[in-house]
Amino acid sequence: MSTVLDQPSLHVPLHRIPVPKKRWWTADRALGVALAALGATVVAWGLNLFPALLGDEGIYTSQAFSTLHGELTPYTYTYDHPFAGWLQLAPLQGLVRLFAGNDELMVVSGRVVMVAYAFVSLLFVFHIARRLGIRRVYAGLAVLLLTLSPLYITESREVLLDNIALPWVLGAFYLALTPSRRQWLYGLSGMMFGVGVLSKETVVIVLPALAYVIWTRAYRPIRSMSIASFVTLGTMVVLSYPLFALLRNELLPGPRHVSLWSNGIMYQLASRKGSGFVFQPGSARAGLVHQWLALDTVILAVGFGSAVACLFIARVRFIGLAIFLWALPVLKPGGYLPQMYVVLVIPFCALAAAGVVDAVGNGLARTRGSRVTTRLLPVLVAVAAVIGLVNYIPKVRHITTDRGNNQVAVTAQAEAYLKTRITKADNVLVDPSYWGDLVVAGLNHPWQGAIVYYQFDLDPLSSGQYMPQGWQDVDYVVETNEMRDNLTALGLTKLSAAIKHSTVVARFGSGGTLVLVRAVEATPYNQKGVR
Amino acid sequence: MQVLLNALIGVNLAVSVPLLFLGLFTCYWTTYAWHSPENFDETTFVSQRAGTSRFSFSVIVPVRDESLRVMSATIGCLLAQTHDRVQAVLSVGHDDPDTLDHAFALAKADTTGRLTVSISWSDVHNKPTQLNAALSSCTGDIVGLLDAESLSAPDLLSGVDTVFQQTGVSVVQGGVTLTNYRSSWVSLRSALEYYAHHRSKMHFSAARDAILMGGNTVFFKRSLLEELGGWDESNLAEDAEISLRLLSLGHSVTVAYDPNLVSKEEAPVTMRAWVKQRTRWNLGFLQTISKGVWRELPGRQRRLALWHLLQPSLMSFTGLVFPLSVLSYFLCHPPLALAMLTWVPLVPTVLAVVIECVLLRSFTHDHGSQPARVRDYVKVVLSTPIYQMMLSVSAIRAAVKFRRGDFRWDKTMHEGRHLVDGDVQLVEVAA
Repeated sequence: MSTVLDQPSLHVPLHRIPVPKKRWWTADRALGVALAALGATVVAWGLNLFPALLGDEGIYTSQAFSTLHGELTPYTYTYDHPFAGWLQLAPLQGLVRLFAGNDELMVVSGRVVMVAYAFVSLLFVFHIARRLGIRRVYAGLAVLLLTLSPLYITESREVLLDNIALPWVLGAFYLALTPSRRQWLYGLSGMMFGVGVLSKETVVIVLPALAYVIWTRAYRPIRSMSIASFVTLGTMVVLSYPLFALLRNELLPGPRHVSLWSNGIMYQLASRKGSGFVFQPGSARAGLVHQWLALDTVILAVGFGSAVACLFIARVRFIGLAIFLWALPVLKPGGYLPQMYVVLVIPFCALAAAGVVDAVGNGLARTRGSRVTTRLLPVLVAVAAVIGLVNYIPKVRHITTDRGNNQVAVTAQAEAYLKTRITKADNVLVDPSYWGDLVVAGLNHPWQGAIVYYQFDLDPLSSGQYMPQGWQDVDYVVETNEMRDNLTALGLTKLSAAIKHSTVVARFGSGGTLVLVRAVEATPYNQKGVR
Repeated sequence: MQVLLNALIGVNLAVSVPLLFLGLFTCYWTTYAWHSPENFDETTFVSQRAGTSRFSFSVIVPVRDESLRVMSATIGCLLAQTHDRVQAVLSVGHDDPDTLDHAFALAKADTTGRLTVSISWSDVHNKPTQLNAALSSCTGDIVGLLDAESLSAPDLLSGVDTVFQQTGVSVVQGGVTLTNYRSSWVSLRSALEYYAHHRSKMHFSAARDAILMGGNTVFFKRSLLEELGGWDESNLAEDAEISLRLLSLGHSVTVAYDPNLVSKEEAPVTMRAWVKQRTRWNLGFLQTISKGVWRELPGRQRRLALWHLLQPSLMSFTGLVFPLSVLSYFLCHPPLALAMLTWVPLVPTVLAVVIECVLLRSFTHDHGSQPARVRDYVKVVLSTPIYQMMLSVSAIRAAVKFRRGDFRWDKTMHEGRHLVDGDVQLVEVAA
């Protein structure tokens, strides 16, 4: 390898050469922050009006609430999801409530936290685009596309683990695209992805795309070391979860305890009710896809169309890869597919579109004598954006100002009624979205006062210890749409019995927001019987 | 009883947290050359030969109880250097008749007239006394050190000459590699450690002017050595000690690691030999710490130099923390968060094992040998706990010897396993 030079060159180690200091606050940073702030504002605008409260939002906010009080969940932690998501949510939600007070619905506090997560995600989308060499204007349009997408706004408002995982995943991609290609940045990228996976396990599906980025972009002579630090640190973060289960003696199934293996992994992968085949009309999967497309056909159509093109452009190939990887479980016949699964793919759709438009711009710039078309491209994109805008405005206005379906208001009314009507000694079966607020109001024990309705059927402590008489132990049932859906979906027989033996004493809202407060008949075991 | 259990958790935590940082810093240090493209390019020294050589060289080879086979191979390589002004100085103790005979036989067989035999008349048998004795016989502008069993690359001195010309420094540290890494898992581990040390760690330290040089394949301006008064004759780590004195005088060291110019050496093959060698190094480091030259260095240099001297002993504690974690978990049932915390030092430990595997890959690649076999990787991974224990044992042995004031030169025996048939033949022609 020795090369023979006639003139010896002066060997000055690089670390002794002063490097000009890079300015931290650049036009890019300013624009990124401005656009992300705009997006976050749209997400925040009317977040308590739309969309309707989802059962899961109540679950995660109440779990975050419990975490602040020293327990991972109000009830037995069943390893349904790793807990890193609501571990992050807990302090932020607590902070919001510090300012908003206890009168604000807990779910709404959770939604406020989601605005911060949306801000970080949008910031990463802009800077990922910039790191890919996409022109500033198209990188900005990618963020705007998200800001105007009804699907993105709707999903990013909901208190979902997917929204919490998203900035971690995008951050991992951002770091993996490092121009300095430092080894420890790849390690950090692995750790961020690990936190993302522990926030919502489904994001692991895009790991091959991230691996592809590192494989193709790392500096060749130090690539093995870069991959080693990515893999090792990422794995160590993820392994902390089984270690947690192991130290609680809940890694493997055993008598009288839940386990990560049977309640976590096997439940999610095998025994959870499947959603059917996507091309079979009437299947749950087809319904979900229809629901996504109804909210926003444009971003998904543009995204998947661009994804195909991305596969042929080396620079952005990983984006196409990520999108198609994401699509695999959607196309898979059978297996459970959750509604919020779509959250992960939306930013990649925007990035794919920006990447393709930018590549087209590059192609036009290279062909001779086409100055006109080169100049025309931004104009064309701007026209498309305006047309899209006109198309979007009614939907976005609906999202930000719709009051017709105000579930939050109905929930607040129902909660206010319950707070005056019931006492600490009553057993009230409620939605998870009510649980935290009622506990804050003083109905504090998870098995007395407010009780999450499905835990009454599902948690072994219910029949074993706290409510051995089944429906006869119950005083009130607060019946919601969510509950009506899950009654059959989860097979809640004890709850059905309680409803059967009850009469409606108050009603709030109508249609999809109908809430019925039901009083269960007096039995020797409930408070009415005692009184 | 409860007090004892709480104390156990306390100790466990008190050990775990600092170990985490020590471990992470060690990983950082080990991988320095691979941190960034800049680091890699900067530390990848490809010798560029200047048109003409400017300096003359005297290379000291201290020998004791050495076989003729090993000596003749080392001297043969030296006399076969492409550089034209080389003096080889064999340094022998007056009380070592067999080795003296070998040295004179080699001198007699030498037709170039460039081999000098220097006899040390000191009654203390150690390396620094022999080095100092030989220094007075040196005539070259630059004095190099080569261990008795080191096979130098033919272009080594030409390359070093160029580095001296280009950088203008007074000291150049060359690379050393252990070639018999397939002899046993001990030698494999040693070879990787040497590789990490010369390929990466030394660059980190040199860039911060806090390098502790090795005692092999090092080159000094002769005037500088004479100004310093040679090596400290009472120190087992005379190489570390002289480095500190150089640093305190404000000299910089250039590290030149070119896989084509490394000296080939023999790694200890058995656990016993390894522990013996490591104990000697640790003992030397302890001596160097107690002599206190490091205190004269300014702030960051001082801390780094101390880290160099203490790191081997500190890291030996890693081997002890996991049994402690398991014990305290089962005995005390600490709160979950605390229990998880005591497992955190596992992160740098696992990272270190993965890094070793990547080093193995890079090492075999750099040295153009066959790619590492799967069983080599398995050896690296599986030997980790025993290796940790050996580190602990050597650290404890050194501490005990230091307390007792037992500073004899417990020399590693050379079996000539690094010699392949080609090397020996070459030398037989020379001898």
